[in-house]
Amino acid sequence: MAASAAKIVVRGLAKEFADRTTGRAVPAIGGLDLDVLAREFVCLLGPSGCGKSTLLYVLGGFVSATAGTVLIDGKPVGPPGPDRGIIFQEYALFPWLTVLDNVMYGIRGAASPAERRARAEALIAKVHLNGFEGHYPRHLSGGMKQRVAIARTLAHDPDILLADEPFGALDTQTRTLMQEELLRIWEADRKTILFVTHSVEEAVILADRVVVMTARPGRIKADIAVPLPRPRDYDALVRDPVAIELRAELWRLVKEEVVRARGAG
Amino acid sequence: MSAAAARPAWRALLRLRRGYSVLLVLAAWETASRAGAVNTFLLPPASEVLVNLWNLATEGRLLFHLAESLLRVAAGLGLAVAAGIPLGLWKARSRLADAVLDPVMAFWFPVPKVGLIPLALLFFGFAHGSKIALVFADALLPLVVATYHGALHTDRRLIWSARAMGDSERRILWRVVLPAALPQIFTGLRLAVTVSLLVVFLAEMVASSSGLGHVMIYALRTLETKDVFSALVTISLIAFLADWLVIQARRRVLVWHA
Amino acid sequence: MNGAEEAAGKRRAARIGGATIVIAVLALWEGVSAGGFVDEQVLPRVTVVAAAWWELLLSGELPAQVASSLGRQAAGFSIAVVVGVVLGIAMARYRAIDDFAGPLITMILPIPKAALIPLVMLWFGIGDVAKTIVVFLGTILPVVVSAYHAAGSVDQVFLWSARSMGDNEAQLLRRVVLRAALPEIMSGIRMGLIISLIVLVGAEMLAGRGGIGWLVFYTLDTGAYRVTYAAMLTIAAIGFAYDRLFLAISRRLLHWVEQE
Repeated sequence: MAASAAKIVVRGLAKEFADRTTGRAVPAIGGLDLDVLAREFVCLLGPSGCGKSTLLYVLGGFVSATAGTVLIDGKPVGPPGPDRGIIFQEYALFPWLTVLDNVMYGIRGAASPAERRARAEALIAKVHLNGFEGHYPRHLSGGMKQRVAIARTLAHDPDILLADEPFGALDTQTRTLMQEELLRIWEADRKTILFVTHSVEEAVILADRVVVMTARPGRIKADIAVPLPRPRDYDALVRDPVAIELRAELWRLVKEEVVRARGAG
Repeated sequence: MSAAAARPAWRALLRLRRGYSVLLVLAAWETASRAGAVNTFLLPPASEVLVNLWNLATEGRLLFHLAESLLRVAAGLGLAVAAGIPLGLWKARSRLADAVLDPVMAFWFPVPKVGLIPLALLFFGFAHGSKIALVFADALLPLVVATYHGALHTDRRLIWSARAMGDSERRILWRVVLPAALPQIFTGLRLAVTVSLLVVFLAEMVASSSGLGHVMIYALRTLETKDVFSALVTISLIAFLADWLVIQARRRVLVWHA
Repeated sequence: MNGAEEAAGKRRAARIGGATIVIAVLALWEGVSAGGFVDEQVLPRVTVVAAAWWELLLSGELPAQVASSLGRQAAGFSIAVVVGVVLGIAMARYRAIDDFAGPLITMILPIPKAALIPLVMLWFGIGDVAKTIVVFLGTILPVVVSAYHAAGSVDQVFLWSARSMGDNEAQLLRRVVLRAALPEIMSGIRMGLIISLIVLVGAEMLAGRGGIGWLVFYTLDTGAYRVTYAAMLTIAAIGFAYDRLFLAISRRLLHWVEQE
């Protein structure tokens, strides 16, 4: 029963959208199989529009699949819930709540208000935003907003983290710092992460395994392990020959699909 | 029925999903009134209201009052457009104008202008003058505000380009700033039309011997309830048509605008 | 902090400018009337009107009529805001409700609200109930439309985030949809507030006894123009005060909104 040991099992997943103008069905994902083990960090890499975000939304329970099965812990995926945390590229912080209230939003259960507050404050400290508890999102930079979003998602202690190009809107320097920070947090408690990106560098730095997707309709083109030791040292990875080789290989795979997508589109 | 003929019927049925409630209400109105479930004096059957409307229209009296109302709206609105757009442009381009107009508008905007009907009557008379003045007073501000915002947010690079090409400031105002502000101006115009109709019918009800508003209140006082409903239908149609006209004009003028 | 200081300076300048203009208008009014440019019967002097206003205030007539108007306004307006927000959000979130109420509202929306006054008078008479209904009808449409539009365009990532943090439908509506829609709802409420005063004053002028609109028209009929002017100024002041109050509340509720 090797297959059922996986945390996430996807079999024959297909998703079609209705085109708004023509009304015709457009396939976004076309028959996709994927296993993700518990505590594994998997990056989904692919050209824009290949359905990698859609796969994430299906796992999150936000959109339903047209065909195929998606199991989490052996059970069919249900409606959205706190067992799966999601981080969006657009941060999605509630602009009417302070940093503290945003982080406290998802903390529920029998805990007293004081306990919930203490937990939120600890998480805010974990992402190095002490002193910003009373600020509103509009006063924060992009990187700070994404730190709050990470803290907010960790606050309800999800089993699985779904990240939809979380650092895609950040400038290069901030992006690098955020990757290091995410590694530090993840290496401490190792949640299962499915991380969508279109950056080859990001995938190599973060992932245990990189799944390359084909152009639309998205299927799996390659599934490549990242044999780099943890904890990872960001600076050393720049010159690491294995990492350099891997980046070249991944870039070659992605480029084929980008060219193919452009030809088709 | 052949399959080819059935298809459009099926589509029409689908469209009924949005709109069945209107038909339902109309049907309920008609049957309740005909069956005597409600007092036909308070709610005459819809069909009788339509017949009555047709009679009033063909007899000519309704058209006269309609023309009176439209004349007042057109005059007041025309004056408001003629004054409001230049004022808005001026406010956007001149610090002095901004400083003078800001407080005036802050006071004027929230004042319910119908409260000033007596003032309009005393100064502009019982006939057209008072109504035109009230329409003007209510339609002016939306136009000034819309033009001002549109002109203020004109892309500076457009103005700089025009200046670099040697346009005079006045030419820039009419050839660059005004067209750039047009989308906003149409939004303001739409609001101005809505407000104009509201105020003209209200003023005609309160103090007038002509116009659709007068027809309605006169019918109420003489207990001709069918006429009340007929006037209401006419007024609603006019308002609907006016709004549609503004939208069409906007589409025509703003072909370049997304 | 320079921007804030500049803004405060601009506000101060606007206040001084506003006061100057008000004083100038009043002085002009006084001059036109006292100088005999306009018949003093038609336009009594400011000082005379002010005296009449003071007299009305002391006699209790003005407070009574204002209270009567504002009571009707407050009742109709607050019911309309609550019903309008709930209906608008429900229409935006539930297809069946939208299919039923949407076309009806689309049909009623363009009717100039004044035209509903005679109908309400026919059905409900000329008392407080009728006027409250008139205010309700005038207020609710802009509120419904803004709530519908705003609740329908709440950013999907907000809804998804809240769902993934465990919100059920009721929590989602209260904690996310309502909050995200609030800025646009507030501008609908402002529109409703303005229209509510217009139709209220109109309805009071048309029928019944009592209310500030009635006072304006009654005294116009009897030729007591001083009182007419005093009452008109009161209506203007109410409109202005309501708007200020609304803006203050709105600023407090929407302090998190990014200012341009």
